[in-house]
Amino acid sequence: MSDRAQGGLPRRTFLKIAGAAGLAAGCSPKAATQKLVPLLVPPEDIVPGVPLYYRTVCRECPAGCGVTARTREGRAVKLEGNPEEPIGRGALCARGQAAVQALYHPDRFRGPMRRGADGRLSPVGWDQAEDQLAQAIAAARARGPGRVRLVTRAEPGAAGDVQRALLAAVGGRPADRLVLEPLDPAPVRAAGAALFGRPEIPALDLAAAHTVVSFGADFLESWVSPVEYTRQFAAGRGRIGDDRTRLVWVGPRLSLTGVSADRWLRVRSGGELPLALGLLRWVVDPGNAVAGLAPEVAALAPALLRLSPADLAARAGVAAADIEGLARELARRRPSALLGPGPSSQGPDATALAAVLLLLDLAVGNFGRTMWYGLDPAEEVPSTAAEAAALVEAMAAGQVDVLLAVNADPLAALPAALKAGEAAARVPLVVSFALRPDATAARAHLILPDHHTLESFGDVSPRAGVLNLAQPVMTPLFDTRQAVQVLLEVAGRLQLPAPLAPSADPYDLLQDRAGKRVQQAAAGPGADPAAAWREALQRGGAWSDAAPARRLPQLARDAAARFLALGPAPAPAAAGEVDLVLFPTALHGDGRSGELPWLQEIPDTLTSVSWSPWAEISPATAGRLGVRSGDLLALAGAAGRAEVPAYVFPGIRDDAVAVRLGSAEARALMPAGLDPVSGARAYAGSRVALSAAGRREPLPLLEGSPYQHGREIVQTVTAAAPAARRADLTHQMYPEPRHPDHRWAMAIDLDRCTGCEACVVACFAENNVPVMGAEAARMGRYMGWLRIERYLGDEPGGALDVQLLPMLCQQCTNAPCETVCPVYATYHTPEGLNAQVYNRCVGTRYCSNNCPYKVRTFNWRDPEFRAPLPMQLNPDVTVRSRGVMEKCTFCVQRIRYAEGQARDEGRPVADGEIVPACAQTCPAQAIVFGDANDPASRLSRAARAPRGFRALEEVNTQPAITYLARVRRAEEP
Amino acid sequence: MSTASRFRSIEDTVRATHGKPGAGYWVALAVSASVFAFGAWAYSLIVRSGLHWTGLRRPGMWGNLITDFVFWVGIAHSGTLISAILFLFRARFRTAVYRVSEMMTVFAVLTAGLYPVLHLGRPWFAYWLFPYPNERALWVNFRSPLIWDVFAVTTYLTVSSIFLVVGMAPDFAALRDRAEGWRRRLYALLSFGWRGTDEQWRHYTRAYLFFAAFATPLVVSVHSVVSWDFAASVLPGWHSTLFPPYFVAGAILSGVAMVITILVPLRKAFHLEELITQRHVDMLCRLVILTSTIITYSYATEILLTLPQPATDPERSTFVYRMTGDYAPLFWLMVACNCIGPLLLYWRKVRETAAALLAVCIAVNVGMWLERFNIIVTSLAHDRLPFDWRTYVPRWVEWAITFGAFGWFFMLFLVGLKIFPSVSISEMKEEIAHEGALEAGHAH
Amino acid sequence: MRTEPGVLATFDEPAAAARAIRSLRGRGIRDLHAGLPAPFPEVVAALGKPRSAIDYATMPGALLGLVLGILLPVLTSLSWPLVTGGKEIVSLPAFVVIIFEMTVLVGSIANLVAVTVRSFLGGGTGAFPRGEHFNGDRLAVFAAGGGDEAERVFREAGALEVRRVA
Repeated sequence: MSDRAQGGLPRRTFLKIAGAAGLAAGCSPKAATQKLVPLLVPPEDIVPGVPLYYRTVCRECPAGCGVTARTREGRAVKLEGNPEEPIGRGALCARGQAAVQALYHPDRFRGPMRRGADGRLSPVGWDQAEDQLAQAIAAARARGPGRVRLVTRAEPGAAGDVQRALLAAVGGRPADRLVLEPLDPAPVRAAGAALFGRPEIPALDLAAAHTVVSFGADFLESWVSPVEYTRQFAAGRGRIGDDRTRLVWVGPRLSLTGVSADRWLRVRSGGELPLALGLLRWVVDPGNAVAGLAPEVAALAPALLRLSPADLAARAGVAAADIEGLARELARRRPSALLGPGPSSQGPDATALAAVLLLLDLAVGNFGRTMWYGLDPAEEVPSTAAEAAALVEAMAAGQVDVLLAVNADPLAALPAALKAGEAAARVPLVVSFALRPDATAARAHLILPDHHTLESFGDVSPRAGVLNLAQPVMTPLFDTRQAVQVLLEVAGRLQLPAPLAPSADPYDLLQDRAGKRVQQAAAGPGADPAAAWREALQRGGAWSDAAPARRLPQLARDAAARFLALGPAPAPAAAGEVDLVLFPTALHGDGRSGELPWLQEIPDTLTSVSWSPWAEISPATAGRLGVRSGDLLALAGAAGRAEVPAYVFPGIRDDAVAVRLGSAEARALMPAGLDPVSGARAYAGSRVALSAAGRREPLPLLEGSPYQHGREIVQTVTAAAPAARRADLTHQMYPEPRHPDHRWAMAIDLDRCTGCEACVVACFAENNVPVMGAEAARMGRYMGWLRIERYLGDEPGGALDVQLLPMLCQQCTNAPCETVCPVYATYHTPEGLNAQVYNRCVGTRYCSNNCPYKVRTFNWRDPEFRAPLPMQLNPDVTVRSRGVMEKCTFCVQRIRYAEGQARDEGRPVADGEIVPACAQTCPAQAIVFGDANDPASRLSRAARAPRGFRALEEVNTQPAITYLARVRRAEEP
Repeated sequence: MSTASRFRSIEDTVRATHGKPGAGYWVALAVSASVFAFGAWAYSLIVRSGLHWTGLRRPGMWGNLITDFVFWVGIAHSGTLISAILFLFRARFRTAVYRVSEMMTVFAVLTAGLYPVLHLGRPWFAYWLFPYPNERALWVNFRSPLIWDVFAVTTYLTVSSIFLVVGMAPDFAALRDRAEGWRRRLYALLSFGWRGTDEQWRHYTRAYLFFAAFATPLVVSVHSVVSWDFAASVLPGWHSTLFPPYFVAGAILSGVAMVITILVPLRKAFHLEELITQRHVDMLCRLVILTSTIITYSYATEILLTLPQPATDPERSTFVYRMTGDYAPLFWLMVACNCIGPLLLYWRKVRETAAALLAVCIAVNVGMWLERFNIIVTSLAHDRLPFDWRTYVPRWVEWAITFGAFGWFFMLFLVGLKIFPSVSISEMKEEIAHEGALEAGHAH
Repeated sequence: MRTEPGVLATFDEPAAAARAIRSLRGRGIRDLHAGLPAPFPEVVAALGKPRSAIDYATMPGALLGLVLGILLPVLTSLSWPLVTGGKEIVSLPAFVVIIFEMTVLVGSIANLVAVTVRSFLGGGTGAFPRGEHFNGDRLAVFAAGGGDEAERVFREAGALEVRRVA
């Protein structure tokens, strides 16, 4: 026995160790918490596998679209528009869709934090944090007004009231609250105030406009209310002939909005005003005898006729004939809408430009037909850049003791030239309410993380008569607290004479304000206010159909005169200097949500760049500097300098360079200058010296060749030739497979598509498409199922003719990918879908080689979803593993769900009942989905249109997707 | 010199090749083994974390690995061609060289067979490509050219292995009778109890004829099938009815070139000069020239047929791209190696100087690899939608796997040389006896 | 198979062996067997035995392969009809390759089995004496049941050695 024990582990010792180990395991806290608690009373509204919808509102930009949040098992998985809500009407833009990633962002603060002496953040209790803040405010209050400052996004609702009340209660002035909305078109307000005494942004109805002229206003991307404007604009598209809404884009750079335009007037940067004046001059010129002119504008003729058309044209940098041509069109095609300025045209004379445009609108009688005053609640007018600069000065001068940043990141939004960061360093207590680290939070002493909108109560009234309600769609993920509640609790600690609100509970607050308003509106004989309020919460808001006062503007006497003169001509550019154009994009807007994974991963439509800033220069400029796309450009301006990879883009003037707003580079170059009249930031009107940095930083580009090489892939039609070219497919080798029940198909109207990428983000969200990162993008391993192919023209160096082609799986009847798969991983379903069976796929990748549309993506590696991002994954869609192919499924999970419901209810699937994610969210409603077997379906009717064509039809793949050709304008006389 | 002694001298020369290996042999074996090992390790990276190690990306979903597959299948061709087709044609020069080329065939197929598995996204499911009753109640898609490949390659491997083993049985018997120790036991096993009675020969020769008859169409079919991987697709540059004959010719070209590349050093190292004579080499060179001209013709046809198309035609665009685009240098290098190089073999001097001959043949192999690379990569990089055009550049992992395969091939070959009779003893004897008979005939 | 007694003669020239065989057969000694290092046609011809009947195994094998080659793709496609690329479920043109390969494969295997049975693993040794191997430099002719006459003929034909095998 003993000698055996010597050999190995003695039996007793072994038993001791085993016992000890078992005991240890038993005692470990993990094991102790392993209890199974049966759910005795399940919540009746959460049924596993059944989606539950909540209505709330989008806060990614000031437009305030309504949102329907789809939740599964208590988790928000996807955001869609609220069909009942008048602004978005069920559509949601790219940024709105991506909001759910801010909710599940891995970097979110898990709770309140305090910065210690060592400069490191450490968790702190809410009570401590609020006490500290309260004490600081009390102390600051004692030192007089202006010591406590609050920076916030526009809060047209209860939250705004609370902020104002709190500041007032501590003896602050209204100016102590800075409403930071960098892209707010303040000049339009200023011009409205000067001309008509109406400091408002007129409400638009572009659907009624025959011609829309945009002076740098990217109203299809980020300007004011892009989703609403896109819908209105698209309503007038997709027809052939004179009643098709025409768009003219005016600017030094062809923006994505400009891509939808029928005509691009390449004015030089700052040439918008001369052009506008030229138009106004021509219109009011008695010699041109324009009928039906507004008399008060006609009266301006003498002043205007002093301007020489040739001079104006020269200043604008276009031919006089172009100005006249456009003016004729405005005179002929009424009503129209002249929009502007937008960031790319907002220079030192922005208010004058806005004023001249308003005068033009007034002259041709657009007011009352395509635009109105009186619908802008003007309840939360954003502060001007001048006020922002004043705040930074005060901070730098040490006049600010407490700075509260609520849902705003001034340090990232303000131009680097203002040195806001250094100024913030002089503030004793910087408090950030950010959800996750940002520039301001990096300098904050106290971080009181706010709930995400999807976890909060709130109300937003973006327009008179529109009250959108925000409500939590799920329990908060972390130990966060809604900012308004924190402010109220802090107020409660200040021994104020009277409480700011009945209670600090955001829901009470909502009821106290919005609730009362709804119930008053519903008041009346036989009405049930309580029910009205419940309904409002269910529907996501209350919208008074009775249109509030839509006022026609009265032109104040002599108010116009000051805007009709043209300042001194700008000094000619020094050698190597070009105009700097700063522009927002549909994916990034002002950059406040720019770092969300989807918005980074999805390429910009115009340049196909992802994950990187870029500087657009014309081929001529590139030739002059000897750079290609991807070479670093050094931009040096008065405000600062930056190095940005070049993107050679024929859609920009030779005397300009364009950089996307929201990037650090744009911030570095952003001029501190203002438009003196409105106090708005003069994004335009500055110049930068351009040189090659001599280094290279390859851009992650999606595009291969941006030219069609004469292949006529994207077709266009004209009034003269209204039918698209179709291939002759009469000779078939096999009979077409039968689709007994349904043949799901899609029609995409290229005349409506604006390339806003909302569909792409929707696809990412709905189908768990992984984000692979910058390296993969550079390598060309983008995983998107749906991409917007953008062609710049026919041949390199040829005429610029930008065409968009949303490219997704064509669900071919004769799918080349199917025959070549050795293991039946992809095949043709009886309902016409080209199914991809992930768990059968062995990854030969032959299907992709044989796909003429190259819409199949391969999982080169396992995707990575950092916690808590997996909570967003759609439980109805498999997350694909490495080594398998994937592609668009026409959202088969939605098809099956609808079919299942129809079966349960013993009825056939109704037309329009099934809507893929991309079609659902398209603000232009360019995508129609339906059953091609049913000749009466919307889809069949759309697909029968003479404009219809199919991509690469000659290959005889018989795609299920019909594209409706873009309508080319018939040349103007 | 009596027939018997000449018989004996043949056996002696062949047995000499099985002698104690010299330093050179060990070095060669070590090198090829370590190259193979490195390739295997590089591949393990892909298995562990995915194909992102490669330079593949849409639209270029195939690259080096498929190129290697086609290349090795091509190499595998000459073997059966020389042993089977020339057997049916009673081409006497075949006798001396067919054993080496048959060995080459089998080892090349063993190499080629790796790639369809290696290039998969989920290689652990490679067996799903075989039709077998399974719990998923799912069979394979017989319309897929990849399944045709599975059948063609497995059949080819089986038949050519049988052909090799059966053909060697009498030689093993001859070696068995004079060997001792493990070799005697091994050869006894491999000779399948061969005693060489007239009865055995009677059936054996007949069966051998049938094997040749089966193998001959197989040779033609296998590479045609491989070419259909491309021809059956809709991709411009792949979709061509010319491919099958063109691929077969190319396969033979590369295969014969490889045979020469191996024979020339081999007969030097093992002193097989009097068995494998210059005449044999010349005949092989003729084959090279013949197939090279066929290849040249195919290239010309392909290009000349598309050039008249309108410039917007994707097919034409692809060929123009191949000749002038990103990969143009590779294309012209390929032309130099496959179309111009072999013409040098017209000169006796080139055929007779080992260095020059080797240079030409190695160049041909490089050229044939490039041909497959050009066909696969340039066509994919230049499909119908210009927006998706992208180039493919192999990464180091793919190169490691490519060269690892050469290591694997030569490793097998070197081992094979020490065990198998690298020249057919019995057939050489028959040859000699024949000559004897002929002389006797003349004497009358 | 038991070995009959007879006369075994070894030669170093196939021609000599052939001569011997012919004269023996001329003398009515017909039960002759040869051991050959290579299939010398003259010797085989002299023995005048009928052509091998191995065809009767190989041909059916090939036909079986053909049938299997047709049945496999057709039946499996029908067992779970999945439409791919708008092609017929039974798309024969695509199956031709399979049919051909199966024919060759099964044919060759049948051929292998046949030759194994007839020539390998001790098959086809007939009455040729046990333990006698002639794969090297000599060939041998064995006259089963042959006597003095056979011996004489062998010697005349120039056999190297002639001995009796019991």
